[in-house]
Amino acid sequence: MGERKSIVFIVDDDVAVSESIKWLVESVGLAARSYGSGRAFLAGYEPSQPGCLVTDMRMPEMSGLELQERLSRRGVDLPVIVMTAYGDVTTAVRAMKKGAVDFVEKPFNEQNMLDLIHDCLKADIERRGRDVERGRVRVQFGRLSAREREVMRLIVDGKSNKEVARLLDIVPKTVETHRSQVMDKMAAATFADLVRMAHTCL
Amino acid sequence: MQPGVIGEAPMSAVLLASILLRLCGVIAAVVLLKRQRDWRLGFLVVLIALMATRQILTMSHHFGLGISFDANLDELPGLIVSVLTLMSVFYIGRTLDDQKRAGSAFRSGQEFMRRLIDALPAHVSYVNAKQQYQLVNKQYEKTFSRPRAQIEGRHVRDVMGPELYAAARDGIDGALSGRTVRMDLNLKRPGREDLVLDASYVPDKDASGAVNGFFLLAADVTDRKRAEEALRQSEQRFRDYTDVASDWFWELGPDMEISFIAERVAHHTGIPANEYLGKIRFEMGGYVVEPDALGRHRRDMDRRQPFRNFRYAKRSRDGGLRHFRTSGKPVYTDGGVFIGYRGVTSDITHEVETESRRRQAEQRLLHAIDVLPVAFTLYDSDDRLVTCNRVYRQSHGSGEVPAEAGMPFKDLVDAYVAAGGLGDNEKIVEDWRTARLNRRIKPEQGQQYRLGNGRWVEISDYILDDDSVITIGLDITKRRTAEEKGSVHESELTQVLRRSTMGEMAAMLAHELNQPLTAMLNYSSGAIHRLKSDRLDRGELLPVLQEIHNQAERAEDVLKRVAAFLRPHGRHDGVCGRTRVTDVVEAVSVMAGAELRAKQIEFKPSVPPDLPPIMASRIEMEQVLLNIVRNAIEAMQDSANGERVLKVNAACDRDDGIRIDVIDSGPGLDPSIADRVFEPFATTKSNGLGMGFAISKRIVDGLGGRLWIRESGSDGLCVSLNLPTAEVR
Repeated sequence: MGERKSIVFIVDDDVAVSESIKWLVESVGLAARSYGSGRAFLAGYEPSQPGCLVTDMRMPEMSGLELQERLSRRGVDLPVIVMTAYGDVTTAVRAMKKGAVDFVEKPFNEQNMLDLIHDCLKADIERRGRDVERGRVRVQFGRLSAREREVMRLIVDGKSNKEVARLLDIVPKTVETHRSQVMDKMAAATFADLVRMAHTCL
Repeated sequence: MQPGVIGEAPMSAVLLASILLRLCGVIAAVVLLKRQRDWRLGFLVVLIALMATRQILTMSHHFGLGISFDANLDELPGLIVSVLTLMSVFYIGRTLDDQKRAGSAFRSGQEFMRRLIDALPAHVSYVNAKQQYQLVNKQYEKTFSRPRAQIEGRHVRDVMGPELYAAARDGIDGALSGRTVRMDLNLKRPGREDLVLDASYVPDKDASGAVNGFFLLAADVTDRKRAEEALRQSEQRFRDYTDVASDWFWELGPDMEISFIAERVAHHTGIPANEYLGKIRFEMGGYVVEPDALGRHRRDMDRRQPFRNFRYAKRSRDGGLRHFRTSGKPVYTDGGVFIGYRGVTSDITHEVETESRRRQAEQRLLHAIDVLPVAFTLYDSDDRLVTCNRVYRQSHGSGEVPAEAGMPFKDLVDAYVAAGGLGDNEKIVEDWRTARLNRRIKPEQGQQYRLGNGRWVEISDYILDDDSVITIGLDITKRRTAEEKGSVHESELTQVLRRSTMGEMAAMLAHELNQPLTAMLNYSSGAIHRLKSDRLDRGELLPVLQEIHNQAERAEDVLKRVAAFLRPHGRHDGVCGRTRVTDVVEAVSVMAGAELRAKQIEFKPSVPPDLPPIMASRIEMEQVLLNIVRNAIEAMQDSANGERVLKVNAACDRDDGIRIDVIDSGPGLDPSIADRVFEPFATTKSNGLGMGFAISKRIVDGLGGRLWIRESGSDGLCVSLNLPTAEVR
């Protein structure tokens, strides 16, 4: 997490536009790559690369929406910012329903655009972070014994040690032991952490 | 005789008489021999001579000179023999004479018979039971070209030849079995005319009824047959004519009753011919004849006068009215006795009906012309008035022009001018009249006048095929007024189209401007950020500024195009001029270019370089075409079709002027507005006014062209327009 630097991918058939956005994005210290078409972008993109996609709506061969659809068909959740021309409202609405993230009408306020890009990058990183966290929790949960999983399920349900002991027909002392084992193995600092993790794995 | 008396006794008178008788007998026999030239009579001569000699010897032996008249009974038998001998000679002579006379008579009779039958102009022969010619006449020699001797005695078949024999067989066999047969025989003679013989075979029966042979009499009837054939053919020809003619013949008897009428009459009247016989014409009922005409007709016939083409009508049995025309002439015998009428009748229903229809049509046409709201006149090739209508007669305001058929064109115009109908256009009228009279007429080139009553007319002349002339005067006062207002209206319409087109173009132009503006903003913002954070490399800045400059120029280009669209070439809107289609298409391709690219539509214009210019306002044409192109683009935008092609084909058609087809590959015409595309506010677009097609059509119509839409099969929609070329106008 955070080891790989996020990249802003810019796709526009108008080289002036894509290059200028790259210039703008780089001016605030972000990495950017520009492509002349959706196809060129898809050929070079590696899904594990964090970042966001800024694409024009109207392009020959493959429109911005088609590009977004292809990405989502590949299971790539890269945030997409679609630049539209004046009057493309209906198209934008259609695209929105299909799950594209943001729309920017050209010409755009560069600060808004940069803010949007920042938001997207952050969201992407967070999502990727969540993905990593989720993976880690699952691994830890796998290490629990069957009895420990039962105990964990019951305590995150809000049951007291006594109740758990009665339900599982064991002594409260043993419940205590299991509970500290669970907290340990799941690397949960607080009970609240454990509850959050339980959402992921249970 | 007694030996004692010989030489001694006087001559006995009886003996002497006997000798004389016998000598007479010799002489008679010799005469007979000579006459009859029959050597057998020689015996008779010798016999009688010997008898005479014997008596003479007896006398010389017994008697001396002197004559004794004593009765000597001994000598009496000799005398009797002598008398009998002489009588016998005479008898024989007589018999032979009779015989000879009878033979000669027979011979001459037979000769006569033969001459008779030879003289007959027919073949006469007698054939025996063995079918051999016994007797033939000279005609046979001629016919069979051989002497009689080679015919008589021969078999019939050998003479006639097998063919003719076969034909004659009936006659021959019939006659030989006892019947008389009469038949025609066709005698073919190679190289010569065929003969037709009327042959009679008559059996020759004896008393017991047995047939010994037959007589044949065959007369040459070739000429008669030919005449009969000619007559028959002539009659047949007459019958044929009668049968095939639409007319039919009839004959009336002396009392005017119908004595003959061709069968054909039934075909036309439905009444069989035999029902007519014996009836009097026009007394059969069902006739529709004008009484006067019928009276005249009857008087003519009472006076035995020929008549021609008398017309009448008659109700046929099915109730329909048929029209007829009949002609006839009286017939007299050689002696001048009237024996009736003979004539022919035709069914003229079709002609009468056609004529009536033609007259009706003509009448209708005249009525139509009369109510036409234009002044119509038709002059014949000599420029004399044939007909004119009400509007023309009333067209000069102060009463009717005395327009009568036959009036010369020149006089009519003079009358018109005199009545003040043509106002103060004397010079023009004079020119027109001269041109008209010299047939220098340019059709469709109307001459416009302001009449005395202040109204405007347009007068056009048209020469017809038969060199007659139609002159049409059209009251164009309203049109003139409307045109003055109309030009204003037209430009208003154009403005509406302009605004609607511009409104729709604005979106496109915005996109066009967005690109460079976006790039400029990004470049400048990026540069500002770098400057602020002091991360700017000088070398980096120059190309960026250059790019900003480029993009500003790009935006300027776009704006120039907008300006060009708004005020093209400094000309006023709606001014017609020679406009090149290729310029229009070029301008439209520029104006729609961005949208075409954005929608990934391939634009394929095809304008021949030698296309003649059209007479139209360029700006209007650009708007019309841009409108059509934009419609096509939008149609294709909604289409799922993979290929998006927009074709603009221009071509020159000899008859239609310039034709421009705009063919898209969209889904075609929306059926919900198919029948009112050209009406204002018909649209399937969410953001259009729906005025485009309506206004485009108005503009094209105004230029004398036509705008239409059709589905173009697999291609989607085809919008076509044609416009006159500048040359024609």
